[in-house]
Amino acid sequence: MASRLLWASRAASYLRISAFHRGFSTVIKDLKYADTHEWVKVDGSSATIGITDHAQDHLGDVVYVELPEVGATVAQGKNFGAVESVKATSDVNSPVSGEVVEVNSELVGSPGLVNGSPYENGWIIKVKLSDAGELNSLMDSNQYSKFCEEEDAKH
Amino acid sequence: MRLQRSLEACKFGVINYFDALKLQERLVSERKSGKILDTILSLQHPPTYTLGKRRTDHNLLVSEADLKTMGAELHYTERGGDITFHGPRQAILYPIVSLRDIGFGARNYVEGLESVMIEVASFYGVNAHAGKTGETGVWVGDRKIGAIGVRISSGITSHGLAFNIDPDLSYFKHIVPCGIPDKGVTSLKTETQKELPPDEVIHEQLIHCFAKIFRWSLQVLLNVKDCTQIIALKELQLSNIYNLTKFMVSKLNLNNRYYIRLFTLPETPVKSLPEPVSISDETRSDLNGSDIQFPSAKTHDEASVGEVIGGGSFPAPPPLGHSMRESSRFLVPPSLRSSISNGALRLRLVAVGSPKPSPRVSGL
Repeated sequence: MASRLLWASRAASYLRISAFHRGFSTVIKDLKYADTHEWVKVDGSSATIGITDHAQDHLGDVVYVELPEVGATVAQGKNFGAVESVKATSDVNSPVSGEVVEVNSELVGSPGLVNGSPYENGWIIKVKLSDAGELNSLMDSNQYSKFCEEEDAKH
Repeated sequence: MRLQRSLEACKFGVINYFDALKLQERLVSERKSGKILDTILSLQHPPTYTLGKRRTDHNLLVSEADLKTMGAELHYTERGGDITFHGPRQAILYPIVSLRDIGFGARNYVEGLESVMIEVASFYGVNAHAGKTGETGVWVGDRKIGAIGVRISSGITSHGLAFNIDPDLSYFKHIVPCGIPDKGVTSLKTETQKELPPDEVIHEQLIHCFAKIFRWSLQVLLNVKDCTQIIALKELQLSNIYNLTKFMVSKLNLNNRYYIRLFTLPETPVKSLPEPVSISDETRSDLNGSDIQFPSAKTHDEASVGEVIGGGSFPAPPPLGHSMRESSRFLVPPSLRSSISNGALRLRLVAVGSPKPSPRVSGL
């Protein structure tokens, strides 16, 4: 437990991010978040999507990632793939609508990247945005942190 | 402080895997849209091998043709986990619940499922434990007694757990169970010194532990025996009873008996009904050739919200010349009428049937 906290704070300072330690779930500024625990990083009209640290922690060790095809369409709030962990497959939803331009094929051989590096090497897909206005309905890092806090308080 | 969450349990007999899968899909969609509460199905399957999303069929050691000879089916599913076997005397629980509502992730949920089986095993003096990382499931020593495979879609669970009471363990020889070689399988019967009660009791213990561990308040327990096929699971407005019954009748083209149970849903918004609702004579005669009876499970005075208040059995459309028997009327019990105000009393109809003679599972 202690060593993970130490790792988390070291990672936080290395990546120069604000770490909100709820347990040890990190949230990154400048990303947008969906209430189904996916993050999106926007760069002009293209976006990178993955699942958050909170999500990977609640999933357990990921052993398999089901990726969509390049060229597939994704829609905001709809699932585009799945991850498997602890004998459970969980849908992954897209925070934005668009067309898949790249998938992270590293995840085929190393699905654990989703756990170890959810915001960096564990990215899942890249899409070309079809409607940048959708970003307004997503949460920013502060709102998302609060959301996670409220969710964890439910049990 | 947390609000009470209700869990509805439906207990079935031996159900074909495909039928159970279709029912779960329907229930997941209804749970997602809030039409039903958290639900848990309790049942057993005929001999069936199943694969998860990763389709690890290299862990099936015989051909599909051989499976047919054995009288077993093979199904591909979207659940997590590897290959496994389901069969009679193995208790299956399929909770269809919203993890989002309780703020749980896959890991907490699966750990809870493991705890359910560990606790029930302990009732029989069996010391079971969760597997180490990467080996989800419940073990006695290095023998597996309980398996888990779950699907979480929009935060709603389906599939669930399988707990070996006393299934025919030789079926496991034809697979590498859960993809883990060198580890055996076992059952409660093998591991316990105690005498086992009928399967029904163990199913009930599993359900109660599930409700307790996840802190649900266990509500309606629907018990349907001799059922191998679920026909419909529907919400209905009282005024729609006639339409639904007619739908049921017209869809039937099988030769065995069907059972309908009508029961009220708890916490329904209600509206006042000036008259008790009954099925009129005209309605009855329109239900052409089928005799539908709705005798009450309890007397009319005693039912309360959440109770079974009507039900009956009827055969599929009988041969020509059959005369219709008099049906009982379906009345809203007086005890419910007084609690009705400003809403509609909603009922749930579960109709199940046995399209072909099914082996009676003892105690179930």
